[in-house]
Amino acid sequence: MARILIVDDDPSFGQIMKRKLERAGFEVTMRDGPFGTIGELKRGGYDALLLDVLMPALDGGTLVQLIRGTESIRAVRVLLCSSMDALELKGLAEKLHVEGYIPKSTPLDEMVATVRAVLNQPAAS
Amino acid sequence: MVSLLSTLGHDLRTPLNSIIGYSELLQEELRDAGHEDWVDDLEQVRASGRVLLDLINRLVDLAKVEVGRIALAPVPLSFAAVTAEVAAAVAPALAARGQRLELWCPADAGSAVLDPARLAQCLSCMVQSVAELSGPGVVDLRVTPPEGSTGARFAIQMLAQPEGAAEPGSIPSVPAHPSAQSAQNAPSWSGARLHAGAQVGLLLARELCELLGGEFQVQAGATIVLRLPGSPPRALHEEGAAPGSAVIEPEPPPVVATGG
Repeated sequence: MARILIVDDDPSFGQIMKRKLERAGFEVTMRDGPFGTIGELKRGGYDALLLDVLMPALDGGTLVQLIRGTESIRAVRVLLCSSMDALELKGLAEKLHVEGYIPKSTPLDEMVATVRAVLNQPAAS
Repeated sequence: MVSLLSTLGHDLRTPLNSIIGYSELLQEELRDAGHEDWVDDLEQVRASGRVLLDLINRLVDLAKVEVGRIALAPVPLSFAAVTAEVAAAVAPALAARGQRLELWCPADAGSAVLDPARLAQCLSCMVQSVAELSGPGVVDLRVTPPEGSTGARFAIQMLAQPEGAAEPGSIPSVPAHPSAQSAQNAPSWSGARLHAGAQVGLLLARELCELLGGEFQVQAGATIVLRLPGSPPRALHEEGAAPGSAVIEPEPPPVVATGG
């Protein structure tokens, strides 16, 4: 069973994704803020990280750079998940070289399909 | 200003996405629990949320165009490929309204160096707005190269109207400047109140079309025509893109995205 970490400072939407992904058969942990994410990834053996972008304390882009700079977790698959403009989110995902992105307006079944597609990709080296 | 609009859009979408997402999730869970009677009520919440989300997205994009700060990323593209992508994207929304898109687009419809995402957004807005102004029936989209020049001509028309609905020929005029459009003199749709989302969608489609260097016209017969500039096929190949490629993929591994 694939393990997924959700980091989102909007607990409402984080819970929606958690429940949906658990119904789809994933093992999901949720954190309601960015701090502690690096440690959680090191401890948890996660296959993918669903990461909110616009978080006041520490934005998702900076967190991606921290993850990619940490040897033991740099290969984790990252999907950006945000309510920002879908085209801007796509551009940010390409700029950060993350494995996927999910606008939060996406129907939940499509979200799950995107997560599965990313998990089917080989992990970054 | 653009940053403010982006933040405003994000902050408007955030609670709305939770409303829509919870509605979807509860529909699924209640269906599993055998409470089908509540699923329809939640569908009303979900569908209304989607309408509001579309309106917010269009208004924010329109405002960005208005302040002249939409960034374009032109690349070589094939009109046929972008049109096919749009047709696939709008099909579910049209089907939900009892509508169907008939697409007439030859594979050699032409090529251009344009921003594929903004072109797709422009065409999608145009198709969906025309569909929103109409009842069940067929939305006809024809793509042809204009005579004597490069580029493409997109003509969209609602072919079939339900009994009692608006007659062909009554697509409203689109004002020259959206900011000059007051609520009191808004164009009418056969005397009926024009669907606000569709009106904003038509304005956005026109603004994006002009931003891409094209022309947008409302013609007789309830037809909207877009003319977009093209480039000779040779130019497309010289820049290294294969015919049919509409979107530049990032360096491998590719970014996987949903269609939201």
